[in-house]
Amino acid sequence: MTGAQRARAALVGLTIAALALVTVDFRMGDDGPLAELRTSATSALAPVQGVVSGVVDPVVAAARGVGDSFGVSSENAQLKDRVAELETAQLDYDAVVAERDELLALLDVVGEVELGGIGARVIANSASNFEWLVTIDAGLEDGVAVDQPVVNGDGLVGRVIQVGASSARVLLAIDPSFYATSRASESGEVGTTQGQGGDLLRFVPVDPEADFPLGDDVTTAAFDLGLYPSGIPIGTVEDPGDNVSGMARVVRVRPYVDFTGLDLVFVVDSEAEAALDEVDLEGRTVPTRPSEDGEEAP
Amino acid sequence: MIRRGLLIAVLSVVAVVVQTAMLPRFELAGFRPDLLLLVTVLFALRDGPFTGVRVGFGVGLLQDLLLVQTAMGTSALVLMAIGYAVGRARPQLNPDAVFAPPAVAFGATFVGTAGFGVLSALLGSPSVTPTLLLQACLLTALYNTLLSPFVVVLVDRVDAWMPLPEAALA
Repeated sequence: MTGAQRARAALVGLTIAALALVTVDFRMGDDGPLAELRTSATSALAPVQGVVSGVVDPVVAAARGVGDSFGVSSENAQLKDRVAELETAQLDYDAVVAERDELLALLDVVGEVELGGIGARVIANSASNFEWLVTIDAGLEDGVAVDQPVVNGDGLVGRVIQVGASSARVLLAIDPSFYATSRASESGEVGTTQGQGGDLLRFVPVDPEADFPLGDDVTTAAFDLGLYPSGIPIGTVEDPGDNVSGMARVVRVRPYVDFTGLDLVFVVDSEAEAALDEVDLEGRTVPTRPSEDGEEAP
Repeated sequence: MIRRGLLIAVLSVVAVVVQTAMLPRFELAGFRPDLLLLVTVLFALRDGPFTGVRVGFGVGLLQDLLLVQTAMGTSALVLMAIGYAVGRARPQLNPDAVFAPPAVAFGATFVGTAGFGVLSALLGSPSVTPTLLLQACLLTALYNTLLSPFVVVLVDRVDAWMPLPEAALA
């Protein structure tokens, strides 16, 4: 056989093999042997990625630091002003929280649970330009499980979609298949925030004719026993979109998190069930824990 | 031949680690180069369609193992097709010219990224919109073109060290 004939034969044979794999994976989804193979591959590669990024990141950060040092003293002055502002705001906030706790107690609603979780470092990004994921260096042995929300100091980063022994993969909020039930805080409107790749996030409100002031904060909502505890900041409204009835309303949201510079993140492992019980649409509370005097939950 | 296969496999794993752990810090407008595609294309350019098909399949499987939302085998299909196409077109591509690797890298990466995007959209992955696809194709192709001279040196080293037997080069 000439080289060209062998190439053709190989092409046909391997195409059939590849199509077989695609079919198996398609049919069996997340429970199939191929999904397990993928988890093993990620786990195997994770230590190497951890070492490489451990070496590269500080070097890149140092290089950036040299460039940044010229801007540092003015940034320092700005930050000092900001700290002063925040300290004042904090005093008001504490008073508001105290008042809220009182009111919640009056409504007989269970209060929030502190978010508990696992700290981790980002060691790798995705292998493809069409998936927005990161690999972190915490896994099953640290208590990480699939579907746990992941946050950092700025806000919502994503959720866990694959877990290995000591590493895990996090689907980022900017991935087009990511969505989170959310609420715009000033207007109170509920909707879903979805990723759009490198572009801004989109918030699709339940009520397409509501108002969305510029700069309004969008946070997660645990509405209807959603996946995320309430109140995790997502971003701010950058473009309220057109209020044309009949057309889908798209509000563009700039995320708080800088997805190109992810380093340290926090996997939230307190269960969504333990978060603030939501008041349902008719104003009744919907408790998710059995009440203490033994009454059945509705 | 086995040793050559192993060497290429090791090179691919290194490429994957570099792609996922180093290059994210060097993104161009949010996109990274596709090192695995580049390796496949350059091997196909140097060594013909048989190599192109086999390297494409192997490297594609490796990439598939690291994806989460796309069906396993998609990258293998795309990379194999690109490897075959580049290998078959080799006589027309002036493979020993200096400008051949960058030019082929650009074209093949553009088509390969488009192919991958279309295929994963067909298979139900929600991630691909036309604008995104176009941006991805263009920027990944540019970035790959920039890196092609460096990767070509590696490919040539492998070929010098462990060349294909003469009969396979037709």
